[in-house]
Amino acid sequence: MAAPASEPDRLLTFAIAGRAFAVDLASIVEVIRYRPPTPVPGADPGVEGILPLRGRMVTVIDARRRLALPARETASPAQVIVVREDGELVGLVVDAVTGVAAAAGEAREPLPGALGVSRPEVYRGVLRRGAEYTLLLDLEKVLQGGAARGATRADEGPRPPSGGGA
Amino acid sequence: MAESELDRHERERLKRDFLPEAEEILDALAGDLRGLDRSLATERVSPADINTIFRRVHSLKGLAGMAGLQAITDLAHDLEELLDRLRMGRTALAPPVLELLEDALETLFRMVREVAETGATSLEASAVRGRLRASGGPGPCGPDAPSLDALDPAIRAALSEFQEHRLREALEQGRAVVVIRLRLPGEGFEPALKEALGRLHGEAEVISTVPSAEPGSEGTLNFAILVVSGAAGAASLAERLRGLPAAVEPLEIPAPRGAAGAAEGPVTLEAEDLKGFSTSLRVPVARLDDLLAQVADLSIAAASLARATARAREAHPEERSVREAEQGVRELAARLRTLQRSAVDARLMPLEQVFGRLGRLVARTARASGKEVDLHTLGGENELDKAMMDRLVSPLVHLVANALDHGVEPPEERLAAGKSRRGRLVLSAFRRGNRVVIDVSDDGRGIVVEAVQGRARSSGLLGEDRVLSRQEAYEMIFAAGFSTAGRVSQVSGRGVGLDVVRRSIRALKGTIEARSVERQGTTFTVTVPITLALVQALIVRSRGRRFAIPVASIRENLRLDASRLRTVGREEVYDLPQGPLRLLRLDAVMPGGAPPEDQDPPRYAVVAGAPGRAVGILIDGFVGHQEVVVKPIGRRLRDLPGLAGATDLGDATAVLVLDPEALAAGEDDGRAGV
Repeated sequence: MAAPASEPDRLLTFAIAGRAFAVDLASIVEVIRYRPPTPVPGADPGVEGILPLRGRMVTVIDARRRLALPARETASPAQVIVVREDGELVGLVVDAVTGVAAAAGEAREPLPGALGVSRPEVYRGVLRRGAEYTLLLDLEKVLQGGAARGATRADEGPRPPSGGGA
Repeated sequence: MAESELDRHERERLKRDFLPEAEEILDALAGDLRGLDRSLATERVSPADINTIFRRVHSLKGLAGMAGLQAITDLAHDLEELLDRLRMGRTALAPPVLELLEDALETLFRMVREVAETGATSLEASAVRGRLRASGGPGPCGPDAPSLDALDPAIRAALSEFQEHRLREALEQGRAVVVIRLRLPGEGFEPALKEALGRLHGEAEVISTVPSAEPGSEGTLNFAILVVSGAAGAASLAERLRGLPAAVEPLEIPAPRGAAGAAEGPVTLEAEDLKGFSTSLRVPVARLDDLLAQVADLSIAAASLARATARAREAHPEERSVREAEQGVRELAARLRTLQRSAVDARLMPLEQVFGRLGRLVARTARASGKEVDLHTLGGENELDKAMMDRLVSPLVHLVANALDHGVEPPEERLAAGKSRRGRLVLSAFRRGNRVVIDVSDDGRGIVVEAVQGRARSSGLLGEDRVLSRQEAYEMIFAAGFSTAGRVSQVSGRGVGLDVVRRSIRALKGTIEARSVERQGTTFTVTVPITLALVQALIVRSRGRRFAIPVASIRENLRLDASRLRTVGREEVYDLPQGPLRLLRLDAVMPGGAPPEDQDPPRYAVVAGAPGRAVGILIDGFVGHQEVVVKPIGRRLRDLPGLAGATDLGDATAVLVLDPEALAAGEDDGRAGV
């Protein structure tokens, strides 16, 4: 594991629900345009489904759900940040990728309580430029899903019949 | 920090260069020893067989020497010495010697495994080495071994034990040893050295290249190349090296031995040996995975190109260039399919490998439990995907161990029952469509239905008054909690952890079944797909969604007649002439489809599952039939039973691939044994 002291030097910045976020650029494979993934029954809430990408399957995760933000409007455009995680591809759905920023020169600060985010454990702090904050996300934790959510994992096995005929 | 980086690098190198080949040699040796065991039983040991073993051990020693694994080199050396004595008839092959050979092989396996895990060996193997050396005959440096005293001490000091041995061997065979001294500029010496070695190639065997910097020769580097020449002598080597700053010195070493050794056919190291004994190329599996993914990607690109040309033709039906483009795309797609199949085939390996490993297990387990067993293998040439093979080893080991522990009887019991003293364990494989069927059969006690019944009752799996049919008994042994409840060897003679075995086979989209004849033996039949990567699939439609169903798992497709649909309790069934067929709504097991557009009864069913347990999966319609690359879905999603993976049919959306057998079995599991 990397030493915790090392600051991410290059960040990918993006917007969700009007807020600015950033993640470490190093783990990112690519950014693709959002298309509706194929849902997989029994998946965790927040896992939208799977998308094929160059012969492999990407597990698509809704960042809004993971950050407890309001759901996206159905037809609104979005992008998927594709990350390699233990040899698998995982995609995080965000509203729009805004660019790449260097972390150097910007002060990283602890998360101010006044921001009132719902899941403080997934943030590594904020980057402040003047009066603007960029929330620095711990990608691994966001993708893992919350601990609270883990307990309510959808139980395995088939659902009861959805009462089609009769 | 830098050192650990280096260590890692070294480990990687070992993994790449040493491990795969060492493993292959050890596996082959295991098979050889098994053969020896058999021929020893019939007292027909052929010297040629021992010679083969000798050569393999020799190759292993060379390999370990090159990898700098001294402990393995040493043990292989001692083992080789013993084999040499066996080969020359100086030591007789008796059961204790065979056991010693097996122990040495087992130790080598352990050492290699340790190398795989840690990158080095800590095992000294001194006990086995001691036994090897004490097993008669002269030690590694026999009194009549050729002396290397004539060799320049500086060169000799730089030789590894292995190189020295090679040298001795060459001398014993009466071949000429030559020292070639090269004097090269210190900077940029490499091209000239390469050139020299290149010219020697094929003409002489290079034992070692020893660099030295002599005092007073600033700016130059000296190399001594120690070679064993083939038919050509020193003069011809000098001729070959003409134009290079080389001096060729033949080494005068008196041949110490008579022709005795040569007459008995010593192992000679010819160019053939140095080539390596395999014509195959070792490729990391990950690279093959990437290749397959890239080919699949290419096919998808071709599919969208095909759609574009089809649209163009609709728009311009008269345009000749459009028709040509369409034709070209069609040919491209056909060639890509061939390429895809080749990419899948590249991952296939013969089952022989696993069979060989199991053989090693059989010899040792049998001896440990006081039993005598011959292993026979059939159909080892059948191939399986590498990933499938790796995951199949452990269940097969389980089945073999089980057969030895509980199936095959001790010799006295067998004789008393009128059977041959030695038990017979058969591993056989054959191909059925795109599946491989592997049978593990023994000629032991068999499965005793009453014993299974008693055990099932006492472990609470069966009501006291329930009676098991023969077929039910064969199912019961796979039930969780059946075998783990206690020792079963005296009771049924069967069943340690068979539920675990079944679960791992199912995870491979395979099946396992048992059948037995009391007192005559038991056969476990394992059926697995050759590959999980590429399958023929039927594409079906259900509630606005598409699913792919592997054709291999489909027994038949039915067009339903609404009048034969009925509901029994909470189950929907369909009446067939041979009896009612249980129906399964895809919606129920794969929820999330669009709401039904109409209330029409379902029109089609895909029938899957073993006879007697078949289910009909209800679908709305058929979309097509094609070969699909089944991709794993991420670990967040893969736990859903009945899902084999996902595929891309070429339109950039994922289609779920069903595993109908697991769907049928999953439905069934709940009621098994009730």
